[in-house]
Amino acid sequence: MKPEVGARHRQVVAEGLTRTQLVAYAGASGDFHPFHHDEIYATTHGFDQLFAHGMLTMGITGQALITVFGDEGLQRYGADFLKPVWPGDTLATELVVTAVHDDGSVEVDISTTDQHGTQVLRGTAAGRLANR
Amino acid sequence: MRSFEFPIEAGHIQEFKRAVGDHDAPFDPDAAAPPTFMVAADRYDPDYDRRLRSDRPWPPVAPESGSGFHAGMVFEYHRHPRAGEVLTATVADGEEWTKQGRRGGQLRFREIVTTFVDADGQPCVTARWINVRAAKEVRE
Repeated sequence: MKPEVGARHRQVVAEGLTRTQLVAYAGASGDFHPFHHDEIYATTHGFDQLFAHGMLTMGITGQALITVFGDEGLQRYGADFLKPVWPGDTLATELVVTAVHDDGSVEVDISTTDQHGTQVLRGTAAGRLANR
Repeated sequence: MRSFEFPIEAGHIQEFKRAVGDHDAPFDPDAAAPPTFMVAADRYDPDYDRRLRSDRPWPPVAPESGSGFHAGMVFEYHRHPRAGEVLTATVADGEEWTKQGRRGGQLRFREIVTTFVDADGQPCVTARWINVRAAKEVRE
């Protein structure tokens, strides 16, 4: 990604999200809320099925940020969780540079959408681009 | 406010990276923590209730109790911690605000701020967990 306002990076960050990945995330994060692994609990409480942790969607989106900023370039990463993400969903993240600062750091808008084009996460990030 | 230690373990970083989509992440004893890894500090929080506990029934919080939902998250990185470090996490209440919802009701937002410092007391990461729930009018 070039450090120019309007520069874009698009990346498919999840293809056919599996229940297994939700369980793996529950173990890795420590968040065992039953909405995210217990189908019976989720449907009993009004959902069609279990759904991903918002933080899993944010973590998956982070794959695109690592591509652009590297492992240690990020200075800030914020996100709002707009819609549930379901097993089977495919997610793509788009980053758009909104500002370039004199110190070389950039700001980006973040949008993650599912296979229907529905935006499930929006956010912003700032940092130094990798290899710059 | 409460504090606890968060050991940054290489195996935990590998497990977390694989869970968020880097499915073949290798074991790296010097790995940097990925962007959202600090949320996994919850494992070490003695008060965390999204896990099985011997002193509480499961599940701990039913949605109808009005606990709300996780609406967003913000991380500010002073630097990126690496495997082998032990951070101290301090959890405190942050700001609260209300906003009109799209369906006409009022939404109440509340921040929980976790500050992570390194062994020298220097800031590493600040994490803001944003919770939202429908505001109920209380009449007595």
